Amino acid sequence: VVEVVHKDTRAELTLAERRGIALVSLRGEADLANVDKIESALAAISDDTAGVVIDLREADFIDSSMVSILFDLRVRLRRRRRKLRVAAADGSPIRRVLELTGFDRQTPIDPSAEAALEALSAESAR
Amino acid sequence: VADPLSELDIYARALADADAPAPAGGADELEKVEPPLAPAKILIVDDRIENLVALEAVLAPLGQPIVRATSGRAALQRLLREEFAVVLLDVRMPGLDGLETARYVKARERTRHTPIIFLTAFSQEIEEVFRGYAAGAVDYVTKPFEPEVLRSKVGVFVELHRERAQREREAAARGRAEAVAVAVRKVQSVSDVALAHLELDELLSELVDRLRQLFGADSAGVALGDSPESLRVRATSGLERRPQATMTEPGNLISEVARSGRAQSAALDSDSVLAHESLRGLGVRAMLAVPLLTHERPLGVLYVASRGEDRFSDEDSALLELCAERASTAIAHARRYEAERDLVELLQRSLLPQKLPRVERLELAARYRPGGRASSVGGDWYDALPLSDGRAALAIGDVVGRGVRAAAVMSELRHALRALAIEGRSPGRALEQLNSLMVVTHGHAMVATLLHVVIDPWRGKATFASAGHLPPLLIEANGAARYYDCESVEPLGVIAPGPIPEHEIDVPAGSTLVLCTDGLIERRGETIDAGLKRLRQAVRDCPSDLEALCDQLLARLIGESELDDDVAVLAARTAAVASGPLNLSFPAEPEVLRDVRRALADWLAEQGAPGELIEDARLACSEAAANAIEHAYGTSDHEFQLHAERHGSRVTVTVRDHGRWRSQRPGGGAGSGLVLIEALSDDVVIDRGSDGTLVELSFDLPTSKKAGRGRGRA
Repeated sequence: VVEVVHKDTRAELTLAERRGIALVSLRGEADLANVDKIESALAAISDDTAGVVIDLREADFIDSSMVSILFDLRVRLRRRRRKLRVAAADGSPIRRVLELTGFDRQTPIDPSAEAALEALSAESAR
Repeated sequence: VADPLSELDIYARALADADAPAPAGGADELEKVEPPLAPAKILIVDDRIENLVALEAVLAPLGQPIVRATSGRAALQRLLREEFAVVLLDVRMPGLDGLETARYVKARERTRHTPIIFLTAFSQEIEEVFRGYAAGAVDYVTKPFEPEVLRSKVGVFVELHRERAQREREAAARGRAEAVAVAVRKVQSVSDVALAHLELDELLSELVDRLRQLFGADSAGVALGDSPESLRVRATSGLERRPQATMTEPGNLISEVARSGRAQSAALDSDSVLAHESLRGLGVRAMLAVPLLTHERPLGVLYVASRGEDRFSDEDSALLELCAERASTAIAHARRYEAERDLVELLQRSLLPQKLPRVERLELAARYRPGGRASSVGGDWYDALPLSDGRAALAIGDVVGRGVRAAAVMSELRHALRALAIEGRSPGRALEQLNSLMVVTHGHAMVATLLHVVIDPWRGKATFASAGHLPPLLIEANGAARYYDCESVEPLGVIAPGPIPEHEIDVPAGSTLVLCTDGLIERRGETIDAGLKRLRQAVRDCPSDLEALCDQLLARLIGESELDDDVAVLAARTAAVASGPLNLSFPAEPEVLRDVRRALADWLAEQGAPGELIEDARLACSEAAANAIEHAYGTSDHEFQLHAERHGSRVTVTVRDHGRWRSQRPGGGAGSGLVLIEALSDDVVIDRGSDGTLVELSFDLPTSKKAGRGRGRA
C-alpha cells in the first residue's frame, strides 16, 4: 500500500511499509518553496517502524533546505533508536548534494531503495 | 449505312478501294454529260442536326450541293464514293472525332488533298488548333461563326475545286491543276506544328522564308503593330536587307492595308511610294499585302513582292490571306507566350521574399536564379518566417510544371505553409495538411516537392520533414558537412494521405543548414547522388559570411553555364556565440526558485556549457537566490535580480538582493547553503552592503573537449 503523504505542483512524497520499515519516496523538486510541507509530512510518519528509508532516486532537484530537513530527521530518529538510510544513484546530482553537504558522512547512502531496505533490515536484526 | 462497321473496317475498306476504278454508276455518267463544270460538293460533318441545318443555310448561297454526315464514320463512307471540294468537320463528335476522321482522310491517296476545315467551339485551346493543322486541316473556324466569313472561306475552296475540275478536263492544264493542289498543300506549311513552338522572332523569320518559297516571290516580309502608326517590319526574306525600325513614310502599301484591313495587290514603278523604304530601289514591280488579324483585331501585315511584270492574282491574294490567318494564330500564340513568360517571371519574383526576415541568433541568406531558356520559368521557391519562442520556419520547394499555373500553386503552398507554421503545426503535420490541400484543390494534377524546417537557434535544434525534396546539408562550425537523409517520401500531390515522418537534428551554435532545389546540383547524365556529393564538396572552406557562401555555391556549382532549370538556395546559420547577458528580476518568494534555476540552465545551455556544469551552477545559483529570498523578509523591495554574463570561457552569475544578510537557517544543516555555493563555484564573491547583498558566482567553461570539469568531489 502506497500512501501519498504530500503533493504540490513540483513534488510528491509517498509512504509505503516494507518489512517493517517506512519507505518514503520523493519525486520532483524540493526547495525552499515546499520543504516546510515535506517536513510536516515526514514528522507525521508513525514511530512503529524499525527505521526509515528516504528514496531520492526519482527526485529531480534538492537544495540545502531539503538537506537540512534530512539532517533534522536523522537527529529525531536517533533519539528513538531508529535508523535512517537514503537511496540516491551513484554520480547523480542528488548524491553530489548529499556529499558536498557532508550528509553522507553521518548517514549511509545506498544506490537503490532495495539495497537501503536490505541494509536496514540487517542492521535491525543485529 | 446500317451495319455497324468498326473504324478499322472502314479504314481497311478505304485502303482497298483506293486505287480501284470508281464503279460505273449512273451519277458518274450523268456528270460526264453535264456541261463544263462539275459541281463542287461540300461535305458537312456534325453530330448535331441543328448545326448541320445552320451550316446549310450559310453555305446555300454558294450554289453548290451540300452533303450531310452526322458522324466521322458516315463522312468517311461518303468520301469513299464521292469527291468533295471541301469538308467541314466538327472536332468534337462522339465515336470517331474530327481529328481522327481527318487522319483517315489524309491517309487515303484519293482524298489526301481534299481540303478540311475544322469547326470547333470558340473556347478551344490554341494547342487543339495546332493539332488540327497537324491532322491536315487547311483552316479552322470557331463556333459561333460569322456566316460571311465561313461562306467566303468555303468559297475559296469551292473556287479552287471548280478551277481544278475545269482544268482537269483540259489535258494541257493538268500541270496547273497540280500546282494549285500543291499550293493548297503548301498553305499547311505556314501552319506547321513546328511553328507553334518557336519564339516570336524565330517564328517570324521562318514564316517569311516559307512565304517567299510558296509564292516564288523575290521578297516576303511581316510587319507587326496594332495600328498603322505603330507598324514595324519585324522580319524579311529575300531582297530586303535588315528592315528599318518604323514605317515613318505614309501612303505605302503596308500602311494602307493596315488602315483598310483589306488585302491589296499593286503594280509598282521604280519610285512608287507604295513600296516602303527598305523595299525601294530593289526593282520590285509587283506587291501583294494582306492584313494579319487576331480575333478581328489588327496584328500587322504580311506581304510578298516580285520583280516580275505580272501583278499578283486574286488567287494569290486569297492564298496569302489564308496564310495570314494561319500565321496570325501562331504569332498571337507566340506573343501571348512571351507575355505569359514575363508575367510568370514577375509573379515568381513577387512570391519570393523581397527581404529575408530578421531572426535573432539566426543568419539567413538566399539566392534565386531563373532558368536561362525562355521555356524554363519553373516553380522554385523558398520562404523564411519568424515564429514564436525565437524559432523560425524555413521552406524550399519546387512545383513541377511551368507557367502561371505552377506559380499560382507555389503561391498557395507558400501562404498555406505560413499559416500552418504560425499555428504551430510541426513540419511533418504541416506537410501532411499541405498534401491534402493540394489534392483537394488540384486533384493529382499538380505535384510539388517541399522541404520544411523549423529551426530553434536557441536550443540548437531543428525539426524537418521532406516531401520528395533534396535533403538538408548541415555544415558544422568546424566545416564538416553532412546530409541528413530521411526516408524518401513522395512529393505533395502524389503521396497517399497520412502522416509524414519528421526528424529532429542538432544544429549546434555556428552551424549552417543549406537547403536547395535540384537546379543547383542536377546535371544531365549524372545521378542525384553525384550532384549531392558535388554540393558537399562545394561548401569546403565555408566562408564566415553567409552571403559569400551562397555566392560561392553558385560560382562553384553553376559558374557561367546556361541554366536549364531554376535554382533556389536558402542558407541559415545559428549564431556562433550565444547571446548577450541574462538579466532577470524576480519577486522575493520561494515559488520563483524553480524559474530561476530554469532560466539560468537554459542560458548556460545556449553558451554550450556541459551538463555537469549546468547542474552545479543551477544548484549554486538556487542557493544564492534562496538566501536573497530569505533576506527580503521584512524589506519593502520584495525583488531580487539575477544577472549572468560570459567573458571568454568564464561565466559569472550574480544574485543581488536589497535586504540584509541573515544568519543561516537553524537546524543540523546550518550553513550548508553557503557550503554548497562555495563547493560548486570556481570563484565566489559575497558583498554584504548596507543596501543589500550581492553574491557573485563564477564558473569556467571547459576550453577543450578533452579537459573535463575536474571538479573535486567531497
